[in-house]
Amino acid sequence: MRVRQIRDALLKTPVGLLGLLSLAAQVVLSVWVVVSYPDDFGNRVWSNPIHWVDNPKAAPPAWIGRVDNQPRADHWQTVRGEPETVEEKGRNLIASWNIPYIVEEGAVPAFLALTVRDVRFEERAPLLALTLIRPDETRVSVLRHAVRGPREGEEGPYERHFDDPLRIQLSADESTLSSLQEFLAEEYGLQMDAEEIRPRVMDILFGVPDAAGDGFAPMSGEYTFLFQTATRVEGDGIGSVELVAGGDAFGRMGTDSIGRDLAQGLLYGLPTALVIGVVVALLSTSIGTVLGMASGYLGGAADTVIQRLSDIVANIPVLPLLIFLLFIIGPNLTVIIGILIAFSWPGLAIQVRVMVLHMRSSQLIEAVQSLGSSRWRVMYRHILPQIMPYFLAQIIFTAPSAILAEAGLSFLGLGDPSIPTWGQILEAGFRTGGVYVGYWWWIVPPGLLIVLVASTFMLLSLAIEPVVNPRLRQTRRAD
Amino acid sequence: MRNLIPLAVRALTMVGVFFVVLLLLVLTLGLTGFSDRILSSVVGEQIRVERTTLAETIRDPDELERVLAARKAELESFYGLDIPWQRRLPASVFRVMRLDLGEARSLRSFAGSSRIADIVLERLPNTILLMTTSTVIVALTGLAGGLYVATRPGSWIDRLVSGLAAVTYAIPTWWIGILLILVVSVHWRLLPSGGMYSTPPPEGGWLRFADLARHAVLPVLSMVLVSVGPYMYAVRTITLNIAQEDFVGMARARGLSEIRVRNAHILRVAAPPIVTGLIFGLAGSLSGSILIETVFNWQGMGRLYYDALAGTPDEGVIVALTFMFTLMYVAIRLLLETLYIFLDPRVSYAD
Amino acid sequence: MAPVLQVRDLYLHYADPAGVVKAVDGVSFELGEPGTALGFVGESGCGKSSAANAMLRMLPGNTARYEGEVWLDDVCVSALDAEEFRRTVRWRRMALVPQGAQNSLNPVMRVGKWLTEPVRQSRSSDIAPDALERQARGLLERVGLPAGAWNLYPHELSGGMKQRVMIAGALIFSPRLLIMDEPTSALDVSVQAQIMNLLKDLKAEGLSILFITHDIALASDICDRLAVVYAGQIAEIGSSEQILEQPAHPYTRRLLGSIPRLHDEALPEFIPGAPPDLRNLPGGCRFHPRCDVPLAVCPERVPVRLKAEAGQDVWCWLHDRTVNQVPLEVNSE
Ligand SMILES: Nc1ncnc2c1ncn2[C@@H]1O[C@H](COP(=O)(O)OP(=O)(O)O)[C@@H](O)[C@H]1O
Ligand code: SF4
Ligand SMILES: [Mg+2]
Repeated sequence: MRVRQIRDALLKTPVGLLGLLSLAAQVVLSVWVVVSYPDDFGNRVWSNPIHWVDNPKAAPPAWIGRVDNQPRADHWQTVRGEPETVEEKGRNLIASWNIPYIVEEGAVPAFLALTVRDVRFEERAPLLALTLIRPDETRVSVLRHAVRGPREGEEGPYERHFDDPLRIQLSADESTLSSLQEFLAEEYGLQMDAEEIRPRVMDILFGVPDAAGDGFAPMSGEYTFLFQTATRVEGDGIGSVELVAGGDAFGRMGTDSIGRDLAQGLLYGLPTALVIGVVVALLSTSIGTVLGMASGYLGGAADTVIQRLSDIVANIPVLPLLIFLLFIIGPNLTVIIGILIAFSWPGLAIQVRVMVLHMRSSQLIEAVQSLGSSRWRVMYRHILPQIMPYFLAQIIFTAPSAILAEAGLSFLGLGDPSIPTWGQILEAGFRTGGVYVGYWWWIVPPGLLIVLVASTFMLLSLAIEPVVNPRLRQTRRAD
Repeated sequence: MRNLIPLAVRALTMVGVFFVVLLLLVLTLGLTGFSDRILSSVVGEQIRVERTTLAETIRDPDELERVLAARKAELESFYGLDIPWQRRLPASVFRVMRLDLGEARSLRSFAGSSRIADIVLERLPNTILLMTTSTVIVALTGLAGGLYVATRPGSWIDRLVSGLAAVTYAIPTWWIGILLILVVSVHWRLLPSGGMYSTPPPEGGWLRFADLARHAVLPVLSMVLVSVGPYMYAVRTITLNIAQEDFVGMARARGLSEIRVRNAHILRVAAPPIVTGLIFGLAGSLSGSILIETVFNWQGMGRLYYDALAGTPDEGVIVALTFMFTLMYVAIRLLLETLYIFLDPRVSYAD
Repeated sequence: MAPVLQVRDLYLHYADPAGVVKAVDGVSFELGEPGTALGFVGESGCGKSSAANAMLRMLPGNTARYEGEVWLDDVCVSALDAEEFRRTVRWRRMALVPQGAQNSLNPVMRVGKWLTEPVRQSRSSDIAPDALERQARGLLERVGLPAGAWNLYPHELSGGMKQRVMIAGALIFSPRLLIMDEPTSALDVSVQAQIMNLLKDLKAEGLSILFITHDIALASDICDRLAVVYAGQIAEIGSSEQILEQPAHPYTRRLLGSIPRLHDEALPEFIPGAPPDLRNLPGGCRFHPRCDVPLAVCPERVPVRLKAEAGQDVWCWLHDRTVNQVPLEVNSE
């Protein structure tokens, strides 16, 4: 068996080629992810709930609408800077922003949120107001808000919401509730108390009372959000205003229960999985090969020690021990990789030793040795090349197990929180009960990706199996 | 007689494995200071018990505290908390072996006990139940299916099994479990998504058993789905290889019937390597069952890991579980090795 | 009296991705009186084992063509159905000890059990277990094995001992015919001689033997008659003396020339040209590309069975006086 045969098996069989192509695609994508993602994505972005507040929670992917044809609001988000008009009204300057928003047939958004940033004023704090102008020309005053005025001992000019944006979840805001109460009474003569309104704020904002009188029918059409600020002097005002109408669906892969964009987490998992697989496989097979060669070639006490050790390590039930060690040392990806390496080498060490013993007694090696080549030279020049194919095969074989092991540990809650992995996404989906309410987009894709990466390596090993185990090739029927 | 020496060698290795794991546990615990914490919890538990009994006889609170403090110092020196952990090693090993690890922080046994030994041992039968059921099913279907496809190498069903084996090798057992919950329990509402019994559990032996079986379907199915492919493939490959051996052709030349050839000359010879396959798969099915118990909230030792890791971690429980799983593994392993040695007469020379 | 064995027009072809392998392609011969041995000799790959397997209907899954008649003592056994053939012919009347005897014993079965298994499994035999054991132990002794071998496993036996066990096993039903396929090829010379002596003794006791080997010298040591096989067909058949002293077929002469002789200075000749590819055979006489005296007709017409001597038949145009004996012009290119 030659390294060349392995290369041929990979390059010239459909299975091998498929595996290689899939691996290449994954590597390219991984490089892109590593380059384009922010440093410390795990801590700063993924595990930071603030980063995801404006996303809909537990929303299925956007494309689902094309599959089931149910009306769903798209996720809508817009940021405006300079006001469109500024007019003087009495002692005030009124700045206005007109932000159009379209509601498709039946697709009422899930929530409405307003974010205002960088408020600056000389003396008097600005007033903020949001009004919704609906397709039927009715107007709902959604919000009136006074920015916090000067504190005692504070000197102007004052700055507010520079580091902590003012974010108001309109669909749950008390002042919105009372405005709606007024609006319903004036416009439709409906008397509803705050508790009745609370669960249906969005239905009321984007609908009209239905014929039966006990609900609200969605009203589709062109809406306009009129956002206004009232300030005293020129130069007072806000940096930007942002409106979010939460969709019932989000992005390519949907979101989890705290609104994280699953597409981002899933992509980030790819380089991590590959690194785990490749590093564990490479290092553990190297250790196995070196120890096996040493054991077979040195013989004597070294052989006995290495073989006993391999025998014992090979027979340790790994998962319980992994759980224990990670629990004690703390969840850290380097530790996970280290422990996986520490437990994956013995198989190859035993196999390589047998092969070395076999080769050592071969005539070629004996001849070379009698010509005075040093032991290490013989090992390097004559024995190593023959072991190489097994080395490669073992790498391909170890990688998927390492990936699966990390996923399993993450699923038990022992994943490294600073580096999101597919196992951790699944764990979150399981622990928060996403499974039991049918959030398939949270459960299916990460598992599929694990299977995809692991089976890429399986394809490769399937392709080289006839080379490593030639007996299987000639399975002839005998009867 | 012939078998005793190889058997002893295997037994020694397994005992070695057992003690290496134990030592690793105890060393890690000692080095990281966990060992002290566990012992302190043992002392604390005992002091708490004694306080209630002593409070009945000693009325003066100061006096009581003084007596208890003295008692505590006595216990600490008894458990060796006043000497460095290295010197306690043998005692610690012995303590782990007896599961004498004090009380759990928040976990309780079904009966309400907080003793770690109670909590863990109570769950052992549930773990054994799940593992045995799925292993038996995997072994039987894998054997039957593998033998069947071995008679049709190269057919579509053979290729299907090979493909299935490769694919399922790449699928996490626990993910299959979650998918089954998603589809069978949540979407179709056919079977319970977890637990071992309905609440409240039905009365009466048969009903209770049926309820248990209903709850076991999905966890068992997940384990079977994932392991049966590779096992079938292994059986197929082993039997195909053996079917090509000269002695099988010879058996036919000797006028033996096909049934006899299959049973006495193919299967009988395939038995030892098939057992080896089981041995190789053992660690995997152990891990699989830990995770599957977690997914299906099956009240076994595997699920206990998850519960002990969540919230305030219970290190004593985790130590006990790691020990118990190692013990279980070593025991099953030894059983299979014994079986192997008695199945294969060549072993006595090979080892 | 009818001959012990008669084979007529035996064919066994295999389907192979590269074409049809004509391993046995119209073979006919007979093995006369009891207590004689016929040798089947030819280069390896010429179809000898296939012929033996064909006689016992041991067919692989990719068999493409199988036909022919096999007669044992006046009974056409090839007319029996599969089940009856298995129960009455295999091992009972015709025992085949296949090539590769080193691996022909079941590794997890003790010798005694292996020996008696076919009898115990046989529905028609009603021999008592202890009588059977006595008989089988007698056979072990007969082939020169110690009584202790009864309880041993194959891995505890040497190569020669295994071959003896095989022979003892083949005698358990006292068959009419013993087919030995390369019985000594994996053994060292001294053990080989012992096995040959054992076979000669058995032959002297009245057993008929079909002795298959690539080694014509070895075959001539035990066989009364020899059949030389080339590319799935018999090239020549005759008494051992005839074949060795006056070979009629150019291939036989080549084969004899390739044997290293004691006290002979000349190096053994090698047969020039590649052994034939049974998937892609030349037309006419199959030997003509390698023949050193081909005739013009040889590439055109398939030789028929011709009488070279009394009791010696040959498939070669050189022996047909009615055929124009013009040599084939060798192309100079
Ligand atoms: N099952 C089979 N399928 C295809 N070819 C076969 C099969 N068995 C044997 N052969 C081929 O048939 C030819 C004759 O084989 P065999 O009878 O074993 O020759 P011999 O015993 O003379 O060495 C060889 O070329 C061999 O490769
Ligand atoms: S028939 Fe012709 S080619 Fe064939 S052996 Fe005789 S002489 Fe040679
Ligand atoms: Mg042969």
